[in-house]
Amino acid sequence: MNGMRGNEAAVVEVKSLLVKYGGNPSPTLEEVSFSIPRGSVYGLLGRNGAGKSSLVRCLLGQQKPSSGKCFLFGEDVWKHRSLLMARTGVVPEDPDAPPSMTARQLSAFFSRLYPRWNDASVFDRLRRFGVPPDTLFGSLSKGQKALVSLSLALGSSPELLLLDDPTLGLDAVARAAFFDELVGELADRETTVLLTSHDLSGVEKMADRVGMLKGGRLVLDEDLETLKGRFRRLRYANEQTEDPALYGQELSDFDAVKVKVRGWGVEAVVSNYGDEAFARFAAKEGVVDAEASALSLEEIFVAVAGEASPGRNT
Amino acid sequence: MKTTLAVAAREIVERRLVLLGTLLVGLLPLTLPFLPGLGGAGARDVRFVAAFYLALTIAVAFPIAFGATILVSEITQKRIAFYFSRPLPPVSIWAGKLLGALFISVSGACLAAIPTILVDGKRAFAAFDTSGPATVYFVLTTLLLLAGAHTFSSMVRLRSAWIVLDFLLAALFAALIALSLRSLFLAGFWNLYEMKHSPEWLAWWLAAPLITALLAASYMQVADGRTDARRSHGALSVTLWGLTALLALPLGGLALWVNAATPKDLVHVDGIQAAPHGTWVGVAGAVRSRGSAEASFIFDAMSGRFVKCPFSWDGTVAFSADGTRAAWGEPRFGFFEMKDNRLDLFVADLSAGRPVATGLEPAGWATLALSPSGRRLASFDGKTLAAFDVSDAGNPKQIAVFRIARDLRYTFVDEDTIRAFPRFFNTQVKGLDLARLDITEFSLSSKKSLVTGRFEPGTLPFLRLSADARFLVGTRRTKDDPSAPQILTLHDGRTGAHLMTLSEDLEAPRVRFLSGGRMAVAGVADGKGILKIFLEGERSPARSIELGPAAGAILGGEVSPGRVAVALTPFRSNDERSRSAWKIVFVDTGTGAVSAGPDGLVPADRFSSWFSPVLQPAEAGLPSSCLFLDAERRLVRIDPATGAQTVLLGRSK
Repeated sequence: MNGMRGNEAAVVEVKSLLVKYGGNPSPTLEEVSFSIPRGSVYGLLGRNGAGKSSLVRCLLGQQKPSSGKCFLFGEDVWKHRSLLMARTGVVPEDPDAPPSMTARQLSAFFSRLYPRWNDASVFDRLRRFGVPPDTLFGSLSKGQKALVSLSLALGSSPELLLLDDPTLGLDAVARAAFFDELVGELADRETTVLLTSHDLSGVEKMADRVGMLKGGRLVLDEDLETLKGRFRRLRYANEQTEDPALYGQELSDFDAVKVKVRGWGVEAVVSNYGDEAFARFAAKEGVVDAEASALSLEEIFVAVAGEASPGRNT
Repeated sequence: MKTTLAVAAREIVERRLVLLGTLLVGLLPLTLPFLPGLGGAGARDVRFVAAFYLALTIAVAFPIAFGATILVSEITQKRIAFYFSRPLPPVSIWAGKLLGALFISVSGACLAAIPTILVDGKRAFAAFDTSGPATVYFVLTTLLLLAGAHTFSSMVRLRSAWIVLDFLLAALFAALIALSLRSLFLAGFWNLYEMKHSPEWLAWWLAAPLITALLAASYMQVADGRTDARRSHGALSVTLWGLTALLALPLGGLALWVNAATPKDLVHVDGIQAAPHGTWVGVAGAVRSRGSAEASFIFDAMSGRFVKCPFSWDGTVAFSADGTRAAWGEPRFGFFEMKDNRLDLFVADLSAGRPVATGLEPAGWATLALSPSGRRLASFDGKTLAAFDVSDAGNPKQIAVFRIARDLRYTFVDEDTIRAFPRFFNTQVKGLDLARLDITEFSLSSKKSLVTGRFEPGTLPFLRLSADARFLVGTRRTKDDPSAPQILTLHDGRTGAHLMTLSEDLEAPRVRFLSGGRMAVAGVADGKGILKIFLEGERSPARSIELGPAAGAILGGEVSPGRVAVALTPFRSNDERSRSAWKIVFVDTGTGAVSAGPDGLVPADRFSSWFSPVLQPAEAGLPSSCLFLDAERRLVRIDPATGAQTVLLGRSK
């Protein structure tokens, strides 16, 4: 790999990305680097304003980063955007298809742009979704627009799917339809997916790796299972002191992301859970009724994104 | 190309209702004749005119409307991302949208006219200019409007800080380009008459770079800005102003260069006007490698120093008698056009070398004269003879004004007196007002005029005054035939009284006052060049010298005491062929001996008799007497002692 090309084994590779907007002293993205191997489903998480959309625009070659590079299939996406988009399906956050076109017209238009276009698969999906192909895009509901966008994104049998919060504002039924279709697509082919979403249960269902943006930096980037394995919620009472200010000191063997003192005792979220460490912790003098429970991705996100950076005791 | 057409087709399909609407609006002209007062015999014309103006309105409105929205709205609303997340190269997005907008604009204008054409057939079709050039102009104009509207809309709607730079640079470059073009026009760099009399050609010559810059800027805006509004504006501005700078800066440089011409850049000298004394001469001519630009200078034939006259329309310069000061008028211009036919007067102390604007503004075509010392300036604009003290040229003071409703020639005879005499080329003019035949002296100190003499109608010759004002020399034709002999007469300079007839048998006779009170008259008689020498006080020539076969003779000056130059040509015409045929002979006025001089030369001030009311002074060895023009119209000085020739100005082809 040289400076002009990315890692060809990775479908997506982001290197030291910096995005700054004029007039804003702090960068929107800073030193962001990660890669997505072929066939992975990568969930990119972050609160509103964390920089997800800027990152997606850079990944699509729509925006030039202030520094750093984005590679798709090993090629610099800013330089080779048009070629790379032929291998990429995109579902944007705000469906951006012209409102005066129907799904059928959009499919016909795309058939002139993509070398591998499958009209039949588009209409098949639309039929399954129950979306009329001859209704103007602007007249469709938000959920229907998302489903049309997904159908069109899959119409070229892309090697990479880039989904930018596609279920934002969708009702539960539309969300379920969207993710079910996606899961089916992934089962059929080895499509690589980058998914940003606020629907963390949906992401958790699909992603095998997640990254989390916070304050413009990528604070998490690891396999979902590993992530979930190292995060635990601990509950216990401390009989050694009645001074709440001293609660939590017994957690010194853990990286506590969050500590809350409740009426019955202490609740903490730790990011480096291990069974042996927990056994030692539970045996500490004063620690009573200690229990550890697994966290959902959403709970991990709230713990990490809601407060300080992980790895720091609070 | 396939993807470009796909984008263009999408744009057109999306706006198909606009085209349908235009077709329906095109039906309106058909309904107008049904309105009261618009029907009857003129119904067809009403339809033609209405359809024409409707099509014209659409031809202007559509490109502006689509240019302002078709890309900019998508960028501001981020909808342009729809295209950038597809396998579409930027050129396809840009060109597809442009083609779509162009098609809708052009076809919209055409559709508006179609109903009228369908109803009225070929005659209606003829109301529209559908020739090839007109169609090209129409499409190019549409493109210009589209690109211009897009650029302006981008600057305003993208709301980035670049807009400050845009307006600053727009103002700066507009001023630079306009001033450069003005400067080049005034210098005559472009000769409109050589542009096939076609203002459209010139307009497109100027518009083509503008269209190119606007299109390139909009392309870079799409290619480099993509979905980022701020970057898109930056790319547009950098490209537009970069390309504009590429045009404007060389244009400014060209204007500076064209206007920085020196006498050494003169390709040839069209004519010269020599100062009565000293070494300064007014020269004008085309300058090398500067298009059709011409330049005028007051040039010191000995030292090579010069004063540039920024725009001297015919090279006419008024010199003081001592040759140290000069005055001339320059047309006052608006931005591109001459303004109110007025002049700005300039005076220069030639030794200082810098012209000074006097602030005086006589009407156009005013003639000028300087007093012997050069401290007083007179101007006559056809109605008013005004005299000014220009000792301090930048702060002139009016001395006297005389209202004179007649054409005249005039000069200072001394610091206080201006003498005016009739100015007619055609002596056969009938019904002349007697007052127009007066010789009048105007006293600046008393502000009074005095008629000192008068010519009789029917005998009025074309007059020039001797440098000492003692004599008027008149040339008069007896027949309306340029090859017929003319009568050359000598008159009293103040009263006009006939003193003697110098010649009656010479074609195109010319006269010079020589040193020692003598006079020389040269012309052609019976196919031979003749030079007659008159001694002071004698009424008949002391000598009549045959100079050899000639169809034309030009009398030069007294190059050294008693030695006169005469140029002879075998041709009557003054064309390219005749130029190299001139032969100079030197005549010893004392002995009558004729010696051959160089070939291909003619006295440089040969045409000055037409615009100078005063003859050269009788002084042997005046530097200007030794100046000649060669066949390539280069200014050549001949050393009277050695005969050596030096090319002063002009370039060999």
